[in-house]
Amino acid sequence: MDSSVARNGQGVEALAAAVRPTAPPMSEPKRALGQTAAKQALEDVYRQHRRFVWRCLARLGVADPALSDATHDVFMVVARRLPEFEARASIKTWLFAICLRIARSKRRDYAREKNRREQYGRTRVGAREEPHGRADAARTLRDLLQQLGEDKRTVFIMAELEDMTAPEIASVLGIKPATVYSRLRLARAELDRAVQRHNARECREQGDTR
Amino acid sequence: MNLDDMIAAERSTPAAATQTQAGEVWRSIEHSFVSVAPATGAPVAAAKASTVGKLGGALTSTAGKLLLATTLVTGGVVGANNLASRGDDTPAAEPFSPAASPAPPTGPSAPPQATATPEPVPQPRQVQQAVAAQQPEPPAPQAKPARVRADANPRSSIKEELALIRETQSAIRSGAHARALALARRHAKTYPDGAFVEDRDALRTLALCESGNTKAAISVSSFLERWPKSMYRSRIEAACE
Repeated sequence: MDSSVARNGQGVEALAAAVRPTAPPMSEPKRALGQTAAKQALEDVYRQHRRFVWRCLARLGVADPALSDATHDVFMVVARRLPEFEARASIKTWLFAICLRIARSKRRDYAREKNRREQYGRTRVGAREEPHGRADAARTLRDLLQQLGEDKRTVFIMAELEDMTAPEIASVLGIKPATVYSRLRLARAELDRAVQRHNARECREQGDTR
Repeated sequence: MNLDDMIAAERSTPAAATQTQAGEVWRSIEHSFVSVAPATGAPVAAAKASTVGKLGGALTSTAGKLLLATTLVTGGVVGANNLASRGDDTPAAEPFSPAASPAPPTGPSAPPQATATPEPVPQPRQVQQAVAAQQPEPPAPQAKPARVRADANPRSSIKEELALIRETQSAIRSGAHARALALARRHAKTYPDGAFVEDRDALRTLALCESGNTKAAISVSSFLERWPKSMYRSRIEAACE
């Protein structure tokens, strides 16, 4: 029994070597990573980082109804790529890069959503009774973020909301740290103006309703 | 309210999934984990999985699909090993017979075509035969008649089906869109309820998009409607933009 298992093992190894003649040799740890372990690893990443992924996708402009789908898609990429992840970058920056790509494709899905944002001034959703509640303020910021260009929005999210360092951001985006700083400065300035416009509009609307 | 207040608010109350949503998403991830092939070309993984499929010739379609697809995603040799030993317990286990062989020898007494050391235990011989079958150029056109004929045998259908899908994949990779479409059509005809229907639909859609076919848009929308959580989704969206 034992010997047949051992022989089986040899057979499978020979087989594996035969079917991937051009592939680089698999390292021992990777070979040891069976399907159960792979799924367990995926589950661990999901448990630890699902909140991070979800909020990043929301900040990157994925509409609420699409967040479940987008999160699913992110973790499908993770499932495929996790063995390649070698802790050169932090897992958060790695996940963020995946979120960026998924968010891009989801935003294309929701072009209608973009339309809605363009009419932001007139048909703002939820002029709520308590407009400055925390959750509302957070949502307003997420809406305003979508008025920024993608480059600035991305840097702003990573730096201001996720506390990533400039070198980390630079390495994920493939830009220079100096560019990170300048984009961040521009993003803040632009958002500041957007917030002022938003506040002025709120005032007007409140005046109208009285 | 100024920007810094808003930042503080967003940091303390970001968008978050409810417990229910988080659970649902995990279940859909789990589901896709075992039922979807990689979206981007992973020929190595596909080759391995195909061989595993050959090993698991005796498995039922569902079990075979599950194990295959898991191996597609994880690419684990350990997975293949598990499958091989699982074959031992399967009462109906039958040694793999190469698809292209005109009169496939059956039973453990089949003459080994192995290149590696001969084995008295049936299972390793199957493995070696799988190796032998895998050695030549993967999807050889002359294998086609054998594949169609093999449909009569449900035990080999999974590996045949996967071979057809792989062939379609490589046709797309090499830009042979018409061929890919023909292969997808054949898959639809031969395996209307196969294990890789999603893959076939995705590949067909990709071929239509990449060749600029006028049916592409319809195909995309019906694909996304049928497989809203497909792993092919982003690839299709990229190709069909």
